[in-house]
Amino acid sequence: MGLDYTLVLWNKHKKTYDKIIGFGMLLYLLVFIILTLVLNPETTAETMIIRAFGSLAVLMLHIILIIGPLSRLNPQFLPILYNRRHLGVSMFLAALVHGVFSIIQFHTLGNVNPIYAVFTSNMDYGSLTNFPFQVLGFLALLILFFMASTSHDFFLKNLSPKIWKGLHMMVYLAYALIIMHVFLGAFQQETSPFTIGIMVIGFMLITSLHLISALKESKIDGLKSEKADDGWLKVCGADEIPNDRAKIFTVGKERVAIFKYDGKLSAIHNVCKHQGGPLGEGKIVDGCITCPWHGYQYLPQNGQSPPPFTEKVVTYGLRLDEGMIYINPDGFEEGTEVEPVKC
Amino acid sequence: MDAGLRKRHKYIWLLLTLVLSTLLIMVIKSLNFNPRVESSYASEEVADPIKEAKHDVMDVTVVKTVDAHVLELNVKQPIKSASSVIFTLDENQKIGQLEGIGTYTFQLENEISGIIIKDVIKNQEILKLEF
Repeated sequence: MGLDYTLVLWNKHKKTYDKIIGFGMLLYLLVFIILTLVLNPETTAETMIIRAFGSLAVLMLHIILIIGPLSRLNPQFLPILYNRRHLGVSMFLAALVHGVFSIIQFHTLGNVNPIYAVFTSNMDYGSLTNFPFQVLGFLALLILFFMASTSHDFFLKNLSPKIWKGLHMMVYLAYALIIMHVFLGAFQQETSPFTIGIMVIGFMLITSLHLISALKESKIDGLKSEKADDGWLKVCGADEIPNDRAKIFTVGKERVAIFKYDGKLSAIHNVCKHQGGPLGEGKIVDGCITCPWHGYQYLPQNGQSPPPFTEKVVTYGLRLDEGMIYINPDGFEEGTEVEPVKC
Repeated sequence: MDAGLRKRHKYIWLLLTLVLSTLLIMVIKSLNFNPRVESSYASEEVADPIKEAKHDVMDVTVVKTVDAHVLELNVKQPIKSASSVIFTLDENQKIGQLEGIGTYTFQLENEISGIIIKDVIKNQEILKLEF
């Protein structure tokens, strides 16, 4: 968490993460260039740059898109999610190099504006195999530009998390445009089933991981707790929750995290106000519930971020009856103080 | 994620899976490249050159084997284009792609009267050879 905005809020983990991103990108480009020089030495430098950075951006986009569902399926992948924004901005830069070099190489020698030429040099919009695929790549690059330029907590705060998330979910549209850009463009010339096969496998991997995690989440949403006579829900035994950790339950349509700490129990809404991270998968650090995604913190008894921060989440009433925890499904206002239950 | 966001993710990916799968199948079906002939037919079968064309950039020969026509290209100079795709002159059917200097062989469905090499990115004709 940071109170004021700096360009990048560095810490040791982010530096390590970024070093891995930078090294990985350089390694890929180096291997691509060496293989091209060995297998196809007549390739011009411009073509090599376009292909190397284009394929790098596609590879990075695949990695970015599998991080989310992998983290939902297995919390061990959460550390990769931690700094996904930097991976996204790096991917945009690779895509930008590809796009700029492509426009320079294919559209700057004519007598019309190069951007206008992207849309008009091939007007065969009715054809599937001769479709002007560069238009799809250009539109995807525009989406990635808006996403990369707003990939900062300043925009998250000022646009509101809802609008920001909606804008950043456009990455799925960008992915669809890029997939079609590659299939309608590069594969019009590419005869190798190997490269087509890799793209198809990538598509199947991404879609299946997203669908599997979505089905898993739907299954959890469908779980109903036993209702007591007074309408409270019987959720679990107090000894089932580890110290300084939580268990997550579906209450109505929402998820609630019940934390155990210092011999007490408190319940808050499971969704972090920052980027929607699952608070119940975090732990108590320095007396605060700490989001596993980006470290945002909340006090367990009132769902408020410790001063001077102002984030607040809904809190819930609990009671303990013969070792079993019961929760009131009607949550309180965000940030309402609730006396913790002793256990 | 809250319940609404989880639902949005689920429906977006269901839609993407259906739409993109359909489009990809249609595209892959239409990418009907003829495979390059890897084996040396000349040493195993009777092969008669029936058509030839010569150019500074490449020599082109159509050879008739026992059961097929084969297009043989000997590219002598680099083609200064990011995309060099071969089409038949007769029906504008795609035959394959050139990647640099070297010898290429492609199986043909029918006898052809010539080839056109196009840059499909710029939608421009690079070379036209008639037999």
